[in-house]
Amino acid sequence: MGRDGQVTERTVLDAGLSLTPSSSRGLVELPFALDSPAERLEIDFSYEPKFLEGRDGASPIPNLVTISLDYGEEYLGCAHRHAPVQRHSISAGGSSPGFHAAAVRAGGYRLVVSAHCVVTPACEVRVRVVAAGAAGAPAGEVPS
Amino acid sequence: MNDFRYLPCELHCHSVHSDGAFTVAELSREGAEEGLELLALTDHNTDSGCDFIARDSVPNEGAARTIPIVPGIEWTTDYGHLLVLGARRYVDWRTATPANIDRKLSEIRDAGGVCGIAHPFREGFPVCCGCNFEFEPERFDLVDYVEIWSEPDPLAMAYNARSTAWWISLLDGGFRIAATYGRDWHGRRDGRGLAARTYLGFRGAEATVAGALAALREGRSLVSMGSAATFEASLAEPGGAEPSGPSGQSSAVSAGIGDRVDWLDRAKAVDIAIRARLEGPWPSDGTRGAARSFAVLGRGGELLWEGPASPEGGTAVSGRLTCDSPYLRLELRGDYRGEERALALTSPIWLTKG
Repeated sequence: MGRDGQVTERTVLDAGLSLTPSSSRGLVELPFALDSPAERLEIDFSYEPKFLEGRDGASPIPNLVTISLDYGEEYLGCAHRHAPVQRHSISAGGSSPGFHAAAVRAGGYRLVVSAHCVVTPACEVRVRVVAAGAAGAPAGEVPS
Repeated sequence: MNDFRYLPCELHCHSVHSDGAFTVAELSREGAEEGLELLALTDHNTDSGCDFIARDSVPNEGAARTIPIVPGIEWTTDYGHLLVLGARRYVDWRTATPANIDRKLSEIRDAGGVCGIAHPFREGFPVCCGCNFEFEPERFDLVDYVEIWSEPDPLAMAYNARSTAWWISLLDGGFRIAATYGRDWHGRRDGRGLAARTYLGFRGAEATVAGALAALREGRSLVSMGSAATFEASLAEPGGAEPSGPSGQSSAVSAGIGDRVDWLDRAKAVDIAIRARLEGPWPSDGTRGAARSFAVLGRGGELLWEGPASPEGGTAVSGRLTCDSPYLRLELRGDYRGEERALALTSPIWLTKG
């Protein structure tokens, strides 16, 4: 809730990436900024397809794409997961596993997409980051 | 050597902070229940789970005991996986490339991290991205250990034989790198029961985080399918007598796993008395192989001495050898599923300080 009692949500990053096999072993940096602190960051991350179906009964081969997050020069963590649809949150009171608990301060952030392995001809990535709650409040505090 | 007690550790563990199934508390409890004395938490590309180590060091409900956890991270890069333990600050894994790997290893060392190469010959891209070690560092002196065995049943995995041969080639190149086992523990789906052990040499009776880091830096390690196989070398006098002090007691000119002595710096070859032992009884159920003999090997895999191994453990087997190898290492050999295999391997005793 903001000071006026309204639910505050600001989309601070909304990006799509089209990856191909040549993207493998590469990074894509997606910078974003908060002009004021927030209670938490909500990160929605997805990619598809997950698998290149195997031919002649061979096992399918997965794509693997992961995300990590920095605040300025501070590494906040990584979501090394195999699921192609993920939701994570960052806050002072506790973050999703993989990320350190951290107050969501104003300033520059960097979400890094690591394309470890892209085996399908195309792989569409979506990343959306929302700064939620307590807009304008001191970092880490939740107004009553 | 007798100052050190070799205790079972698991140095490659994942939790829910990456793609593992255990919380940090559950991992600690499972490790204790399996008889381990220490774990290293090495989640993929994050050390967020380490924030929970102190919190979980209080006794867990239902757990008989808790065990120390070394904070770490597995650099899961696309060119190889590095296990980084005990670093005082974060070093960015994302920018590691074959072109800058020596600088990255140096940054890890500068941050106080102990660095190991994980499962170097596991299948890589696209089956297991980055699992195969494609980096070609020149600064292997900045690598503290190599995970020569991986997965719950390491002797069943052919790639571990390649990892072991590669580690030996690094020793032959003069690099003082310890050997470790890593279960690469992700949860119960990895199975329970059949897993090897890394034993680290601790100066005191208990395993500690600082002691584990020191053991890895100094090469006081061994891998085993069962109990710890250790050995000691003493400088022998010509004619076969062990050196003795003024009181007639055996003198202290001896070395254990990880020690670096200057014997070969002063002679072209040295006569050495060997004592090898199993520190505890070898498992008798047959699943971990049948221990039969000790072998001391030198540079190039040269067999320098062999002696019988008693599966009861506790009794030292003595022998003598003459060598000009810069290092000695011990293997415990025996039958494993119908084949003669090394059931345990130690890191070396180094006979040169150079």
